[in-house]
Parts: sequence; C-alpha cells; structure tokens
Amino acid sequence: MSARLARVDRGFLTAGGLMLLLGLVLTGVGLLGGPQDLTQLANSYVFAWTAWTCLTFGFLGLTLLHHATRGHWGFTVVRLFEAGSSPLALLVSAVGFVPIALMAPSIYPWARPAEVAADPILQGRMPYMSFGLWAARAVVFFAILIALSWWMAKSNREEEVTGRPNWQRRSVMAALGLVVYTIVVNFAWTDWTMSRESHWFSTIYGLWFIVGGALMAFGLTAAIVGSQHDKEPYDKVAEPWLLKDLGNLMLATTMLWAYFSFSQYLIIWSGNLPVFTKYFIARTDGMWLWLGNALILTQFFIPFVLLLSPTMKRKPLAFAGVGGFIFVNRFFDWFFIIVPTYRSAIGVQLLDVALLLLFGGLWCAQFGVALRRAPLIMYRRPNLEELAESV
Amino acid sequence: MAAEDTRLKDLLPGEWTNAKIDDELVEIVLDQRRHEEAKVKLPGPLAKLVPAQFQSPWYIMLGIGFVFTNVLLLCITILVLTGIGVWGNNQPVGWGLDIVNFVWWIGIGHAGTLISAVLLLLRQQWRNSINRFAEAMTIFAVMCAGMYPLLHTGRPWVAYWLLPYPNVLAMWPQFRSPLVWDVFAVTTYMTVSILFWFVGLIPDFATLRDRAKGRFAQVAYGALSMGWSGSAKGWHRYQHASIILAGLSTPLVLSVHTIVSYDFAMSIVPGWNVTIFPPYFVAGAVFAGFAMVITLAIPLRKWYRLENFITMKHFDWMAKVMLATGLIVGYGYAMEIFYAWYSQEPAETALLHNRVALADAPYSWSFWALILFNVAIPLFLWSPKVRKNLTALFWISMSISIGMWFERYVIIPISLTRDYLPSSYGYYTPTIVDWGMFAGTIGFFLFLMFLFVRFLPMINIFEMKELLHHKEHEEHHNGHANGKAHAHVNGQAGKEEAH
Amino acid sequence: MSHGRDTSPKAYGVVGAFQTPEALLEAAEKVKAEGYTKMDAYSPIPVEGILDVIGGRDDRLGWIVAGAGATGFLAGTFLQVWTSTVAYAHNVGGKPLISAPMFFPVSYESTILFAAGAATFGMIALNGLPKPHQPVFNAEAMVRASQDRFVLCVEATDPKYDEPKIEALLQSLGAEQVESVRTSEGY
Repeated sequence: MSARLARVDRGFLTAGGLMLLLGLVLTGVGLLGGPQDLTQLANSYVFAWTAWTCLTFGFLGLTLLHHATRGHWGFTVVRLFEAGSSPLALLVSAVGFVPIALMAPSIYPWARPAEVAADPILQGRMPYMSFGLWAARAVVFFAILIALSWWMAKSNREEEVTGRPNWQRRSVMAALGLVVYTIVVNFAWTDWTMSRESHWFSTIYGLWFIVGGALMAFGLTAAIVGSQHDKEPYDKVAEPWLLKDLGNLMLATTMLWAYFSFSQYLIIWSGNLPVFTKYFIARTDGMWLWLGNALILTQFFIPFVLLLSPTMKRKPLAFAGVGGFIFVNRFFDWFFIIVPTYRSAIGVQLLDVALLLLFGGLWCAQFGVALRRAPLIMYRRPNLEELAESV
Repeated sequence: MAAEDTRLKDLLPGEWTNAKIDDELVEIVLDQRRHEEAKVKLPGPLAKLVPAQFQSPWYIMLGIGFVFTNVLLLCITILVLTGIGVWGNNQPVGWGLDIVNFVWWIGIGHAGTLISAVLLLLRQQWRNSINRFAEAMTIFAVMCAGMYPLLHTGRPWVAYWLLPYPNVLAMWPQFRSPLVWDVFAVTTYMTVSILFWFVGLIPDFATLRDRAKGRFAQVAYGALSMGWSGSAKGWHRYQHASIILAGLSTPLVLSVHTIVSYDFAMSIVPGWNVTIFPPYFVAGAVFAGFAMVITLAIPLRKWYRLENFITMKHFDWMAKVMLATGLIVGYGYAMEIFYAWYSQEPAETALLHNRVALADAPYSWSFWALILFNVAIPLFLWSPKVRKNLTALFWISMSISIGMWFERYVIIPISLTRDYLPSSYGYYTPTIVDWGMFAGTIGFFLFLMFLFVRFLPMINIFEMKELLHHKEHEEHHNGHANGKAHAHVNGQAGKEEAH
Repeated sequence: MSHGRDTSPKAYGVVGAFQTPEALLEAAEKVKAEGYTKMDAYSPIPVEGILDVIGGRDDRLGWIVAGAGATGFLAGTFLQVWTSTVAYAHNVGGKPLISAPMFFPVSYESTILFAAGAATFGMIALNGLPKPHQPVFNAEAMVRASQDRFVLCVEATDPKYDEPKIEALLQSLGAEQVESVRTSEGY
C-alpha cells in the first residue's frame, strides 16, 4: 500500500501565489484609495514585515537548536526548519528591509532631527543610533544570519549526500551559532522595533522576540506534520512519540513566552516608572486592553490546556489544529507588540492586511521553492525505525 | 528526546548484576568500614595529632563540617543576643552579605530539583546516578539559605508572623510584597523537595531494611520504608506519583528563583528593576547548582569508587549544561550593560559607571571578578579535553561557585550604595560575623552532606537496577541487530580519566 | 485477647521467585492462562507490562492531584483577596486592593504545594502504607524481592486457590523458593 505523497511544496506555492496576488491588489487599493498618512503606512509595513521575519528567524533558531542538541524529534522536521530559514528566506527579509530604511523618519524618533535636537536621551545614543550605523548594522546582521543558514544547510546536505558523518563539527558550529544568533537577533530587534519607542526599553526584549519566533515556527511545523500525517513521507514518522515530543516542546515554548511576557509586565507594573509604563499604557488604552486580555487566553491558557492533554497529542489532525491555532495567534501578538506605538485607537486598517498577505505570499512561495530542493525527510541518518523504537 | 549518541553502556560501564549493585551501594550505608577505606594525607603535625583510623575523607570532612557548624552557632548566638547590628548592614545598604548568601544558597539548590525533575521529564538517563545526592544538596542548601532571611528579621523567634494566620493584632501579610511571595515560594520549595526526595527513597529504604544485619538498622529503615513491598500495584502508583512530582517540581524550581529575582526586580532601584532578571536568575541558579554538583561528585566518586556509576559521560553532560547556562548568564550581564547605556537615564548610566569604571567606583572590582570567574574561565568548557579532565572541571566549578557569589555581590552593594540620591551614597563593609556565618553555613552544608552519605544511599539503587535492565535489553537488541557479540567495556571509565 | 475475630494463621498465598523481570512476566501470563485471577508481583524495579497481566490499574491519583491543585489555587487566591479587601484592606504604593498580577505568585505556589502534597500522600494512602508488616513478608523469598528477585504471589482469595497445585505450577515454570505463606498469629 503506497500512501499519497505529501505535496507540501505545491501547497505552499499555491497559497503563496494567491496571497501574493491578493496582497498586491489590496495594497494597490489601499495606496490608491486616498492620500496616505506615511506614519500609518510605515506602521503597517513594519508590522507585516516583522511578523514574517520573526517566523524566518524562528526557524533559523530551531535549525541551530536541532544541530546543537541532536534530539530525536529534530531529524524528521529539520528539513522544514531549513526551508523556513533558507538564505533565500533571509534575503527576502533583507530586501523587505529596504523600504523600512527609506521610511526611517516616519518610523524612528531618532531619525527625525527635530526630535533629536530636543531630546538629550536620543542625543546620548548618538552616534550608535544614527542612520548610517543603524543601516550598516542591519547589513551585518543579515549577512551573519545568511552565512549561518547557508553553512548549516550545506554541511547537512553534504552528510546526507556523501554519507560521511560530519555532524560533530556541525554540532559545535551550531552551538557557537546559537550564541551569535541570540546576540544578532537581540540587537536587530532593538534596532528595528524597540527603537521605535523614543525612551522605553526592556532587557528581555530580544529573548522575548526569539521565543515568539520559535513558537511561530513550532506552530507551523506542527500544522504541517499533523495535517500530512497519512501521506508520504510523514506516514512513516508521524508516530505518537514524535507528536508527543513536538507537542511538549511547543508546550515548553508557550510557557516560556507566557513567563517572559508576565514577568516583563509584572516588573514594569510594579516599578511604575514613567519611562517603562508608557509602553503598557499605550497597550491598555481603550480597546487595546481587550486584545491584550484575549491574547492571555489565546496565546497561553487555550494552547496550554490543549497541549497538556495526552489524548490530543495522539490525534494528528487535532495536533495540526493546535499548531495552526498557535501560529495564527502569533500574528495577533505581533500586532499587539508593534502597532499600538503609532496607533492610539485599535482597528485593523486595510494596509495591515494587505501587506501581511503580501509578505505572507512571498514567504510561502519561497518556502515552497526551498522545499523542492531536497526530500522532506533525510533518510540516511539516523535510522528512523530505530529511533521510534528507542523511545 | 534523549540525545542520539548516548549509549547506556557509557552510563553504566562494566559487568553488573542487581546483587552487585546492592553490594556496592547498600554497603556504603550499612558498613562503616566503607567510609574508612580511602585515606587522606594530612600535613605533618596534623598527621600525628589525628588517630590513624580517622584519617579518612569521611571523618575529615565531617570534622571540618562540625567545626564550622559550631562557628555558625557561635555567630548566630552573637547575632541573636546583640541584634543584627553585628552585621555590616546599615543605611544605605540594608541588604548585605546575608541576602547575597541567601540567593547564593538558593541558587545552588536548584540543580538538584532540575536534575531530578526536568531530566526525568525529558527522559534523560544520565540523571540516574547523580539525582539522589543532588536532591540532598538541594535540601541542605535551602536550609542554609532559609536561615538568612529568618535571622535578618532580627527576632527569628517570631518569624511565624510572616505566615498568614488569624492573630490578635488583626494583621495579615502584605501580599503585594515580593518578600511575602518569597516566604511562600521557599517554604513550598523546601516542602516539595523533601517530599520528592522521600518518595524517591522509599524503595531504597526497603532494600536497606532487607539487607540490614543490625536490629536497629532493620527497624529504622523498615519504619522509613513504611512497609514498601515492591508490589506491582504499588509500583504502578509510585511511578505515577513520581512523574507527577517531577511535573510539579519543574515549574516550581523555575518559579522559586524567579520570585527571588522579583525580590529585586519589583523595586525601582537602578540595576534591580530589570526585565531580564527572572530568566537570568534561573539560568544562574542552574549554573551554580551544576557547579556544586560537580564539585561534590568528583571527590565522592573517587573516595567511594563510584567510577562506574558516575561516568565521564555524566561529567560531559553536566559540563555542557554549565557551558550553556553560563553563556545565558553572560548574555544577561551584557544586556544589563548595553541597556543601561542605551537608556541614557542618569540613574542607569551612573550604575553602569559604578559597575565597570576603574576609578571612582568602589565596588567595580567585584564586577570584573564576576566576569573573570563566571564568564571568562567557564569558556574553557568549550574544549572537549577540558570536559574530560576532572581536575580542570573541579577548579572551573569552584570558579563558578565564586563567580556566582560575586554576581549577587555586584547586584546588592553596587546598587544600594549609590542609588538616586547622591546625598545618601555610602559604603558597605561586611563584618567578621558576616564572614563567620558564611563560612559557618558552608560547614553546616558539608556536615549534613557527609551525614547523608553515611546514612542514606547517595545513588538511587532501584534506578540503577532499572538502568542495568535497560542496558541489558539494549545489548541484547544490539547483539541481534549487528549479529555479533557485544564487547564489554569493563573499567573503561577508569582509563578515560586523563589527569 | 481476641475481639471476636479469628486471628489464627490463615493461608495467604503461594509465592515463587524468579531471576529476571522477563521470567516473572512469562510466568504471570502462564498462571493467568491457567485461570488464576488474584495475583500480585513483588520486584526491586518496576516491571513494565506486568499490570496488563495481573490487573489492578489505578488512575485515581491524577484526579486527586488535579483536585488538590485546583483547591490550592482557589485557597491561595481567596486568602489574598479576602485579606487585602476585607480583613486588612490598606493602600500599598497606590496599587489596587486586588492587584491581580501581584497575587499570581502566591496562588501559583499554593497550587503546587497542594498538588505535590496530594501526589505524595495520595500515593502512600492508595498503596495502603504505612504498613510495616504484611503477611506476604512471611515468605522467605520476599527478603530478596527488594534486591534481585522477582516474586509472584497467587493469593488465597483466588476462587481456584489450591496450594499443592499452584506450588507445582510455579515450580514447573522455573520458580525458586516456592512456598505457601500463612498470615502471622494475631494478624
């Protein structure tokens, strides 16, 4: 009995095409629809770009984590991780960054000379937070991440094709890579999103974004593996132990996200210093508060309860549903993190959706292309049947 | 989720049977002679003073522990009779070495719970031989830690006022204070650690009961085992309870150090009101805890010939955990520095100056000591050669214990001596009683640790038998799969020890 | 000293010891195939799969712990809300009387405390401990059941209980130290 082949690549190419088309049309409508407030346009753009870039960064983090720890669960899904963070995906994000640089004065207080002249704090951050160094850092960050992604994929392919084990070297490189990755991603989001607030800062911001991205990537992975469980090649590996391990990792990441978010809120709420509370005042103003409260439910309580249940992890389709639920909800969280900085009344604008679809289309299309390059599962090593047995 | 390349033969090298495991591990508890076998060379004059039979590590360590326990008692007596003014605490530093030591000890305790609970949940078999004494370490460390805040109240005999109970003053605890959270967190932690430890010991108590020769030991261990028979139905519920306790201890251990970090982070003192504190305190606790496990495991393994139970593989894993948590801690320091600068807030930049500047910053030496002991030296762990060298590992672990102490020292006096108001700047100098108590708690910890080694099995006996069973199963399986006899690696652990 | 209860020694069961968990499992299956239903096994390590043969699966502990955890959470929350609004309401740092984020840590700790207590004492109670003496300890073989022997016991409550027959059966399955156990005098 031969099961049907999982055509994940085709699915993503189709979805990507549709999203791209719809996104282009809606963006066109949005842009031509009337005179634009450049600040709001830039705000929508940063949201859409950040959400999908975090997914790419999340996949890169998981790729490195897999190579560094070599847990059993990783071998079946590492191809998805690699495709989600391929050099191409990072390049798409890098190109998407260009408009942000062009719109910098509409996004960043430090890029508005008048504001800097009146603000000793922004002056104190010069020249670090000046346009030239900021843009140069972005180039360096992308270059480093692309190099990491490229080297990991190359080394992994080499072992797969030649059969000569080189994982020990890759494992050490991945551990070093994780160190570099954490630092780069931390400083990147400080530059790209945190510095949109003129004075506010939070030391956990970088870790918070890393965990948010990893959670997104886990959600999407779970959705793919769970929904394709009866098709080639996942029919051989979507066994209870894999779903259980992936589910537990997703549970741990969900808890970590909740832990960081709660601690950050509690510390700022308790300290009650104006510099820090500004961030949460904007996010508890009017209806934003309800989005925030809803996120506690959808990003923590619901997935937490679902992922605790052992029964759920035995049902691949339910598992895929939970993964998808987590994945979709991450977009609401990014919306909550990014948008209120420049929008006091809650509301979804046409361009938020249009640009999200546009970037989503690009992301899915590149994911589909990347998946075509190599089989979905690496067979050579280790023997999957043995893996399933040894658990 | 076990790592791919671990084989059970590496975790339990040599030829074993259940009876041989009992001969090794049970006899350490039942036979005093096992504690007199290993000998230490005492320096000249001492060698003449101490009778030959007491020149074994067990007596020496217990003796040192006993002496310093008395130093502790002396310091506590002075403190209680005089008041906490005998410490160096004063305005503006109300939290001195006592809180530094409290956080240090609590942090050390965390590895025990982590090894027992988290690694059980992750199904990591390398936890099996180190979990028992790591758990003991947890309990003793929490005992040492708990002493400080209780004595710091100044009137420890009314410490029960911290608990919520109806009283004639009609007062209740102030639940918006992280110090009250601490009371709940630390008491819960202590209680749950003891329960978890006791549950783990029940089957071993039964083994001790059945092997004991003396009537007293039979009755004592029999009572402790509560009549454990090892029935299938009993084991079933037992395993269920163990996994539940592990599942509860994992979030507990994280929450305890998180709440300890809230003690600082809830305030608005510069350098304390930091959002990265919770995860970086937890990582620091794991870091310090594993360092202490290694510090204790290396000599115990040698003195009690446990090379086949605590193998080089175990040390390699622990060293890797230390490396990873050390990097997280280093990342935390870097973020504190960077965002203090990034904020450009006067109080934050002043704090940055007080930490790192070489002039006009009276405590910056402690920051640089921290970087040296906690960040620079542990980087040697990247090298597999260092991870295989027990001498190096021992000293790196020592360096981490010192470094983690400095971490808390950096956090407390540097922030408190200079906060928002320059008019209230001050200095902090610990007194002899501060240092005496610190040395005293270390002695008390050692004293309890070596009593534990004497009277309770320091390695989980039934889990080692389980491991042996799995190992035989694995060898059987491999033998079939490869179609060839499996080579045993007797005594390999000894050879790997390249000093 | 009798309180009307017959405390003279009675038959408790027939025990036999095996060398390995696999042998125990195999023997239990064969004894079960002979139609015996009341069995228990005593071993130094948990034997995987033995409960499927001799029965006695018990999943109550999970529910006990869940109930205790929920009670702990409610008790912790109630304690804080009641003391800070009714029993001893006062303003601290301008924070609201019910400071939900600040009440979470204590509620969380009390959840864990109650649940862990329930897991430990629930396990002990469900296992009928402490019970320092049990009739099965009268068997010679039981001394090593905590060390390196895997003991199977067919209990006297079994409807087909017949000592010589079971002894012969266990012996034929390769058991050592086969023995019929009686309860102790006065027990």
